[in-house]
Amino acid sequence: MPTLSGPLLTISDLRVSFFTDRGEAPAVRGVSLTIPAGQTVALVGESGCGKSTVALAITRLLSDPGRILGGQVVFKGRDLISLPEPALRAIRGKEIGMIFQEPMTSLNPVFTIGEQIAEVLYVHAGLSKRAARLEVLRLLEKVGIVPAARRIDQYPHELSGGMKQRVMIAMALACQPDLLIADEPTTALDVTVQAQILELLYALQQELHMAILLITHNLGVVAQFAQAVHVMYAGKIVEQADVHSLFQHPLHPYTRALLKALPRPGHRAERLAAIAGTVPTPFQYPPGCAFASRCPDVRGHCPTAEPPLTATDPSHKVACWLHERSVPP
Amino acid sequence: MADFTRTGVLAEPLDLPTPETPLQEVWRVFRKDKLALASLGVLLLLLVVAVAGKVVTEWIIVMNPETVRLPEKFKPPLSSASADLLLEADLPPFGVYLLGTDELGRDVFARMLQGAFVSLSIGFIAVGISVLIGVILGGLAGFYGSVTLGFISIDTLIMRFTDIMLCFPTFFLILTVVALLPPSIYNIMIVIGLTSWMGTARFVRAEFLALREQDFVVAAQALGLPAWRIIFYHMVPNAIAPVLVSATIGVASAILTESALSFLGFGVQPPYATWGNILADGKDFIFDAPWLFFIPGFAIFTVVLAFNLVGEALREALNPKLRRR
Repeated sequence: MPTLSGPLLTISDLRVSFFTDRGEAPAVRGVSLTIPAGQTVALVGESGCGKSTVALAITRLLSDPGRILGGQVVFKGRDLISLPEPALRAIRGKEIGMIFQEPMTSLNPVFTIGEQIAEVLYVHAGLSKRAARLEVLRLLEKVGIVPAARRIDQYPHELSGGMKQRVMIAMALACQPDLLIADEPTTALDVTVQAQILELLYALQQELHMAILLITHNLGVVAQFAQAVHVMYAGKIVEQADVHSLFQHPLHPYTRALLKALPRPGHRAERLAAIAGTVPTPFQYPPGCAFASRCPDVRGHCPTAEPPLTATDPSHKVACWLHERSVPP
Repeated sequence: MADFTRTGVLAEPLDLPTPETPLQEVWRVFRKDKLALASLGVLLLLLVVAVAGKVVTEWIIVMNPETVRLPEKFKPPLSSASADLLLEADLPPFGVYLLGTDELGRDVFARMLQGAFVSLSIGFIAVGISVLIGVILGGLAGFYGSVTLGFISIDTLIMRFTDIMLCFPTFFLILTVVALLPPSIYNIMIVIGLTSWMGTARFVRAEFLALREQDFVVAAQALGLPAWRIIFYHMVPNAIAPVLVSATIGVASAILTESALSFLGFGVQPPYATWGNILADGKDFIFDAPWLFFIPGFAIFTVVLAFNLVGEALREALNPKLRRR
């Protein structure tokens, strides 16, 4: 593993919009985050907040009508946004692996899992057929698909959801990437399988010393797994902190509301707390804080003035006027 | 029975029957359709006959379809040759005209054998050309659809060209081209191929538009696979089912087109025999020598029907939604 000074991946002021018939929908509105080598960084938020768009934008996999409007994604000193396509292709799958939410549909139904994992090895490592097969067997064992010798020639429809996600992990890690982007890796799986998959990811991370960008809406997973957390709302990062201070002292009203909405053992409430209102439509974000319409602590200037992301202590940043010392314009 | 291994995965017992591959499943469904199975038999027989026919009429000449035996004209099927009137070399095998002789005393059986190979090779090569063009153009339109060249998208460009090609009355286009080009079997294959790819292109484009959004295509991109590999290795096999069906039926229509061209005299030129020109020669003697007309007619009918039935059964076997019950 190459030793690197500074972070492995730095995203600064990334902006992505979808251009639809109804107009421009800004999905990511200036997101910045850094991922240190070997660490797990979580990106949390509800459906539609733009977290998956960030994941796809990192390796420029957005399909039409999504377009990256600005910002930088610096990975090991190279800006992925301006890198030519062939150079980027050499990074995808080799240095940055990716796993997706839906293992059911992420595998090609007409090829055996062995052929699909081997393909990555042909393309990136230039292995021969025979060498690739041996390597695939080793990878399958490693992700806990046993007996590998029998599973290797099976088709995706013969495997369960959890097994397919294990295959996806084997494919993503075949070339030992430095960064794994896990876009809701456990959302489509049932709870017991979720735990197994997370355990597997954790074990592999320890072994391969890779960084993980964990995209999820499951705060339980975050607490278990991540070192740093970024909370996203309506295309922006509203709070970022290390995992302890976020769960101990959440600052942004949205983060607080999210944590309040979690069921807690021992606290038998009639109903779980829900966040009132709905996310504003991306076609008409308010000029100020996007959470203002649902915020219990809303102030007069919140809907009209954009709160900056400021540090309250070295490891904690929040974008909210409640914690802002400067006065809105 | 089940036990947890150290990795926490449920290890299934190993004595499960091996599940069937997709191909086995298709065959299992196809096999249920007896008519299609019989048609497949007919087509396999035709393949054997066509290849054997090519061998015995051109390479190791057992029977020569071009031998003219004027004293022996209009012999009905199964009549024996009069050995005293002919040279030894001109006698048909076993001294019998299996399918009779025509107005020049040529052996119709030998001519039909020669024609079988022509029909089949025109069918397959023309369809091969059309599938190749169709898959490439349809694939490009479906995959790179949104990429624009100046003011027009690739999808628009290719699909409007397809629409234009569809507007031509194909048969008259073929007639015109064939009338201008020297008549040869290769020109006919190419012309039929170049004028019949539009359906395939549309199928493939439609499939690709749906496939492009599939997670496994995005996953393949995330793995850094090159575009050609994604298109031809990951997407084409998933889009090929409707193409296979239309190709099967396309072979039938290519054979029909060739027969029609030969019937009109624009096709393969005599003395080379095809089913179409045997039919064309035979029509003048329909009352005196009806076998000259009915034998090639029946052959064309059987083969076209068999291809269509196989195509229909394939459509059902390949598409679970169409399967009965």
